[in-house]
Amino acid sequence: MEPLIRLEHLTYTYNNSDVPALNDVSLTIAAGQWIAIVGHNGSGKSTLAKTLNGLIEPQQGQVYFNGVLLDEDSVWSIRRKIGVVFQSPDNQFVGATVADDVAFGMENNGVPRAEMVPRVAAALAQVRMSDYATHEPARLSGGQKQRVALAGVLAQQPEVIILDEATSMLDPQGRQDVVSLMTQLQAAGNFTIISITHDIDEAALADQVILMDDGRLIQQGPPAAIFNEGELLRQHGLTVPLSEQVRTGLVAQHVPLPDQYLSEEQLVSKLWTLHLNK
Amino acid sequence: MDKLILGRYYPGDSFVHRLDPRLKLILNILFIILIFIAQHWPSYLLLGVVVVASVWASGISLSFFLRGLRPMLVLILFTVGLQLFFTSGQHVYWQWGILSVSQEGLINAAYIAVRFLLIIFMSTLLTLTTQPLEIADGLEYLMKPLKVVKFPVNEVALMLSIALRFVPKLMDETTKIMNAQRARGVDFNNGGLIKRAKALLPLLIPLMMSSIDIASDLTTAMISRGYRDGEGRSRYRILQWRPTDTVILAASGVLTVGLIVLERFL
Repeated sequence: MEPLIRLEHLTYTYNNSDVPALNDVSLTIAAGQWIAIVGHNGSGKSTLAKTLNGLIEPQQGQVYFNGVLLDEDSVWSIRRKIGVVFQSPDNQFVGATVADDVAFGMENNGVPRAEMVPRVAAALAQVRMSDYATHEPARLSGGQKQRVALAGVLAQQPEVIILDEATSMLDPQGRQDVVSLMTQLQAAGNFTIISITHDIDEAALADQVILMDDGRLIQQGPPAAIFNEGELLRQHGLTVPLSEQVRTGLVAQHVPLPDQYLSEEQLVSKLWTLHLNK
Repeated sequence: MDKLILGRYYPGDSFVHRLDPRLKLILNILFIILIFIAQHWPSYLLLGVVVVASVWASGISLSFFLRGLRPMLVLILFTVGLQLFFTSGQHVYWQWGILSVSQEGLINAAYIAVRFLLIIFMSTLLTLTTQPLEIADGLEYLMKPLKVVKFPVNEVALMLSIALRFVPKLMDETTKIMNAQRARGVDFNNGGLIKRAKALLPLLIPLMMSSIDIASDLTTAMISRGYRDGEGRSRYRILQWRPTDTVILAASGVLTVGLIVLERFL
């Protein structure tokens, strides 16, 4: 079956740089998955995301969306199917009020007003921001702004949602709100989520993790497989998730734990049932 | 923020607040024309009554209007002074070199003062009772005929609404940079004019840089959300022209005719 997104040998170098930000990257993403792209600053992960909806045109290589080559003719129809939430909550807010901002993408695509009104209301309800429809962005917190940005994306009924470090500028509460919202959307099923992050705990929620460094794809696999190799993560400038740190520490102390990555929840349940194994 | 003309919206739900912004814009322009048609005191009295009635209907206290007057005070005094001292006339009450106060000068000065006051009251009423965004929307509608001469009406309107939306953000940014520069020892409040102007430089340049950054981020976000140009877009926010708006428009028509007739007979 044709994967939802297929990248072939993407190479891209920014004008003011000698080093390629993307270096021969090829990968596929299946529909309905939650993908986390991890890597330290400047590893090329944001550049990769920008090639997906044609914000950046790679010097070499091709992007296929649903089997369609992304080019000048197809870029606008593909953009309609990919919603992006960016890093800075302030700098992506176009509308003067919350409802206006949610409607902005639909306005661009010429959706008739009669259809827009219920879609704005539904999207705001999905992110639990209905009470704020007439508020101005200046009066919202960072987490609320990102939820509105997400509503703007949802209102356009996309197939893919890209979160480009969308939680990195938020306080813990705001981050928690956005992450739990993403988990719910993922569970509801209709979206492919691509989350670009350097928060490894957030990446642990994904189905697949893509590890990038120096514009290259280092490894792609389920979180358990990637996080198992703590040395690999450290080598590429990332920290090991807390549960993995605890697990390796305990194994070193001869606590009988399985020799593979455990999510926080799995680790806790293994620990409190430990005495049963004796 | 308080001194900002565009941001001086007074939240409320009065009769005037609920009028269509297009109507309010048209009436403001009409009112300015009427002020210049009026040449006699009875006409001014009539227009004055209209202003007082409108202010009363807006439910906003007079002190708010007087505050709006303050920044204009210097301009008014200057113009009135010019009229007062430099109008030559037959009945001269006082003379000193080229300066003289004549009967005609006094009358002219009084006319100018009244015209200024009435116009300022009316335009203050517009900004106090209409949200900036509504004004932007109203302007977009009224500018529509300019599309014939290829004037980018939709783009200008979107630009205006984005500018309004970023006013508070840039205020924040300014405060942040000022504090950062103060922490480095820049003194914004003391010293002569030149020294103070120089102190603004380390404020303006970072502000400019961060505005460009914001603009660049915003562009990326807008393109990602499918923005191409003003054509082929639908509108979420709409203006609603109500029967009351038509009534007020008709009443203003009657007032205009009445004023012209009045001027004829005086």
